[in-house]
Amino acid sequence: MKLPPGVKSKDFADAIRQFEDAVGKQWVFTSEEDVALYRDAYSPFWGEEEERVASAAVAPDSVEQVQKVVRVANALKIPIYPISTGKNLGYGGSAPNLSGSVVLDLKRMNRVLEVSERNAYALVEPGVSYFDLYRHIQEKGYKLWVDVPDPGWGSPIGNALDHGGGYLQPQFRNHFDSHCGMEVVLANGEVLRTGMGALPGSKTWQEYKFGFGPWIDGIFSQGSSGVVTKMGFWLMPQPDAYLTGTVTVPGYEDITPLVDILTFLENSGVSNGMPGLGSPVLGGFMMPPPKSEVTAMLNEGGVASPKLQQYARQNGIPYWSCTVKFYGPAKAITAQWEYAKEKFSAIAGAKFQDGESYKLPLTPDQFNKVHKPEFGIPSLEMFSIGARSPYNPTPTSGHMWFSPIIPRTGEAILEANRVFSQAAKDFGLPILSFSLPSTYWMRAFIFLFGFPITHDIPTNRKNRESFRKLIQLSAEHGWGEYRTPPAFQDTVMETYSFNNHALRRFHETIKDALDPNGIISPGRYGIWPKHLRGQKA
Amino acid sequence: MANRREFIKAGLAVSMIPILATAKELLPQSAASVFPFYKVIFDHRFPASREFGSEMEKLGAAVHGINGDITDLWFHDLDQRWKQAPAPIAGMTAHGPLFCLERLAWDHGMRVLSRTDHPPVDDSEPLITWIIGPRARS
Repeated sequence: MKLPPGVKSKDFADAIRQFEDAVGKQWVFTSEEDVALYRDAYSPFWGEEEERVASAAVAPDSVEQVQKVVRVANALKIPIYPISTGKNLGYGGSAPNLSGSVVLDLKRMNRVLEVSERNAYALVEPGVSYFDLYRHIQEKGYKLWVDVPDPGWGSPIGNALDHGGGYLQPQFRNHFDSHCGMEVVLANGEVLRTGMGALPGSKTWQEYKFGFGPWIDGIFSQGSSGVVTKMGFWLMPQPDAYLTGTVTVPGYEDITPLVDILTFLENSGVSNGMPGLGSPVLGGFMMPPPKSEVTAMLNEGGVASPKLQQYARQNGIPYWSCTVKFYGPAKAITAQWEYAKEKFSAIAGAKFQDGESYKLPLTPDQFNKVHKPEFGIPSLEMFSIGARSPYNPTPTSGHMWFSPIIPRTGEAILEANRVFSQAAKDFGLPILSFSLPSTYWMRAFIFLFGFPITHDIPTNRKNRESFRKLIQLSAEHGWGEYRTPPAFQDTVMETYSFNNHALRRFHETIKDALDPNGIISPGRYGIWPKHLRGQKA
Repeated sequence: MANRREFIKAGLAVSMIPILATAKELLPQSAASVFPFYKVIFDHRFPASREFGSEMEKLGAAVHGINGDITDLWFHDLDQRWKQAPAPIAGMTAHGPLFCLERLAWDHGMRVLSRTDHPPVDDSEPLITWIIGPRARS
């Protein structure tokens, strides 16, 4: 067992005994076999001394039990690492930042406390998974959708706190943005409610976020200032219909007006589903694979290759595509698509194709065909498509996401690709020659590059080194990571350095004030308590 | 030289015998009844896995076929069953479905008790035969 740094064996044993008193002996896990379940399956340090591992785990069933555990940890200065369902794969899983921490596993707190169909919100505990909430809504017959990530086995609270995203309308896709009200156990064991929840007897905890005075919910997201034990979420009323349409544009330079028009349509609320950018000539994800001659031209001259542009023109293959999606009344979304076509028609040579059109709810046949998260349905299908195939001949043991935020412009897409494809050559990175960004966030693009994790230590070392270089390179161009595995959180936080790291110093001030013994998630997102500051996990 | 079907049959032999034999050893006495598995999972995409499912069904198993994705199996069956009590399952699948089922089983006090990796046939994914169940009483 790896004890937390600076903690004596006697104190640790005392803490374990008191945890057992608090939650019941059967809910405190100390055996090697049990603790191993909290390893990060996708750890970039797999099998190395630096792998972040827990010393034990404790699984409370109630807020009161969480308070008891936190008070014990605070008294004996035992670091704890709260997790909800522990499915944060690709960004750290359930393993702590600081080896030797005790995982505070909240999976037993799995109650859906309230769902209001009338006002479209839910109040849940951290152990509630997206499947649980979806099932509750289905069983009650509520006409509500939950915005789910893909895969959907995680928890709304855990995903929102890590700034995860989904696939429905923009006001729901950003899961932290769509929360309303929190309950938090602080490091001293006190319970705090945010927003309207601070008003005893409040009737609007899940209806108005801000309450009165400074709004503090943000410090608990990607944070280490408390243990979130309840959270409210706004849900999406089930729409009448769903419609998609695709516009293609012929030229390389057309990406700029294409993105500008898309952004206008989204910011105006005309297109209200998650759009998808593509490149018919380049092929790839969700499109036929590129032809070998295209790959050769791309590798030789990049996406701007004159040969590639000529090839596209001669063969009548559009350079770019954009699929826009609409939820709402059938008549309204048909009109919205018509309006979108009018706007995109400003690009010479734009062509249009109608896509999916469903009256909702889906029929069983439709249900089996669609990408389920776009209909608020949790799914694990993703795990069946990442396996070995002609396009993935050597499946790895997992992945870690490199995920920079870039401006929402066509120019930024091209610039980021120029930088990252050059980096791929320079550093020997396992990323594609050209990628298009994801559109989870309405106001910015995000690139998602999956770095392979293997069980080969030299390969992992090389990939970690490349990952760090890419973080630095990205920051030099003004693109910051939105989320990263614990192995790189210090590196990323180091790049957010405006005014001599004023932001990190602010976080540290808050950390020291709220958690002076530094027991809650030390090191999470690069925020270390005073006694560990400057050290590495 | 063995043809494809013979190759699959040979694979089945090495996958099924241990599964049935080890189940009795690995599972708690309460679970190790005549046929100890609540469900046996196979994957329609792979001939060897289909054969496995067919043979297990002949032996009296309640089998469930997937197409790589365990979502329906999980949501409509295992999630509700395991909320009542742990129930052992076995299967012959690719890595992805086992990866999901193993992690979902952890939350119900179960583990992968047995795992046998099989070499890939042609360009197919490698298959694994496995047992998930509660730990045997020591």
